Amino acid sequence: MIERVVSFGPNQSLSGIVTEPAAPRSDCPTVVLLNAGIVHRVGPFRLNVNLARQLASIGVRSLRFDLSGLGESRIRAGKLDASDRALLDVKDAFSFLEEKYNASEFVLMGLCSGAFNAHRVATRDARVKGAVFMDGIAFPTLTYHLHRYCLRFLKPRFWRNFMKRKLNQKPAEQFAGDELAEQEFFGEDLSRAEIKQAFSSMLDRGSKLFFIYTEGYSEMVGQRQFEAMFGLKADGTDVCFQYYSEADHTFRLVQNRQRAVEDVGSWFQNSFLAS
Amino acid sequence: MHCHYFGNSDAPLFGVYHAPRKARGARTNPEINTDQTKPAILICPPIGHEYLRTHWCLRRVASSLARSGYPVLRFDYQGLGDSSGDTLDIHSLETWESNIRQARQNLIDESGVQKVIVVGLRLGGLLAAEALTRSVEDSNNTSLILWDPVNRGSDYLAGLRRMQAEMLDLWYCQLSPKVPDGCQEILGSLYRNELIHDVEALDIHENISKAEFPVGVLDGSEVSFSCVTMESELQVTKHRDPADWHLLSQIETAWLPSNGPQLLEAMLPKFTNNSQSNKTAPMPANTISPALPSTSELSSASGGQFE
Repeated sequence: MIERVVSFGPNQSLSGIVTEPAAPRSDCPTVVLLNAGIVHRVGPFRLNVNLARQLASIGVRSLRFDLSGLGESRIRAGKLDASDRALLDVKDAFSFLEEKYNASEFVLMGLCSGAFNAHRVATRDARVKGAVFMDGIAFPTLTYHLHRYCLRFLKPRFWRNFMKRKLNQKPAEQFAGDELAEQEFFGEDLSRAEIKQAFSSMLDRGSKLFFIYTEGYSEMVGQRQFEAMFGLKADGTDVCFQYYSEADHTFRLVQNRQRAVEDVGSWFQNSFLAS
Repeated sequence: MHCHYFGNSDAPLFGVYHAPRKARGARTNPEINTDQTKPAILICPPIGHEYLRTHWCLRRVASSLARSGYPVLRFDYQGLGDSSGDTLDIHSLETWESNIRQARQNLIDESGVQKVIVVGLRLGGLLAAEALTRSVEDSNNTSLILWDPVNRGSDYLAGLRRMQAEMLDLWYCQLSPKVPDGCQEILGSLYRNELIHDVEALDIHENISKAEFPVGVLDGSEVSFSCVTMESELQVTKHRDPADWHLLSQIETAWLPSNGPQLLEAMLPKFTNNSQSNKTAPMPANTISPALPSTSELSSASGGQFE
């Protein structure tokens, strides 16, 4: 495996790392790993680096890069909101990979805002043949409300942790700065119907989708909610679903992160390398 | 900005070189040299979760310094960031100290400037001090600024372990992470016991008292730096940024200090002019050098360029 620094996009302003396997396969999509929030291309706790190297171990080339304005990538000129910038940035990444590596198909992977950006691109670009959405789009359902507002409160650990956090919380920690970040990354208002239609379109063109959610995300409680949200059946063929009940949103614990990385590698292998 | 890999081909390190902004007139008149009097700046980052927290800030600091005419190199230690390997490949601090020496040489090669000021943030400061103290060749023409340094490795690890224990105590379920034999998991990373042992033995006072190069400290804690170097007086500057390094709630929050970066840039000229052979009688411990402006003067000045 070898890793190379690359620059592309307008005035070579976008910066990333291509992870090249020792024997790259030419019969599978190239993976593009997106930023999570404002964390640079390595990902939270080096998640993207681990994913890239796991994929390389099975012969898959990947690019992890910084969207414009993040990490080592410069800001894109023009008055664009975050979602539009991301669309253009990923389009430039695709063009670069097409030109440099003769890639024609892509799989996007992203956590949190990365999942949202992956969704936006996959909706619009037929070159995307697959995606891994980690803690991405979710809508509350009856199952969700039942778990979040009834069953969860029946767990003694919930109350124990709640009281401990309240007692230990310092005044400075009560600032709700996350609202601004959410507006920056998740500003696009989408209806459930639009999301369902987008996923249907992806699946109709043969895309493979892997939905990963964690307990720490607080927006998802399990497969039943997932299937009710979008009317998708996670039967392990075109649609796969994994819920990590012990994992936090950014996979802080090594064992959870390792498991997620291995699961993504297995999913890719089953989806694109089986033959 | 030039991202690149450097060092040994079997264990390459990722680096980002920030070329200095050219002197006025040099952009249109190539006969005007860039400012050759400014030293190059090597930034040694922290490790673990502090690496992620401080990445954005250090990028901004490097860009700001480059705009002020300093060549700057940021880099990732082996096993961290985009550099090769994993933390489990690191068996002793000597690996990271060697990385610092490699980065220093890379900076000299990229910039053509021989004089280097190493800025080490948190554990990066102690690592840099160890790296430079062990190598006479690397400490020539080099100064060191320790920014919010870790004072004792044992205290640093104790703080991290407290946060790790607190994090697990508040987890969604009762959980005992499975860790490979001979390793410890601390806030998202696995470290070998031998490496942990090396970190525990670190002591800033003992370390910089052996330094034969100029050392400065930029710090916001209440720690008293009661030592001097073998080279000259210890320059200590206090900043007003909050020190939240041991708050669990902040471990994934970007660290964006407002006061420290300005003070850091103000310290640099003092180290630019410092001569390596300027052995004077050490000043009394914990002296704030009279040559540096006070923090209140800096806060009202308009010279700070940190954005």
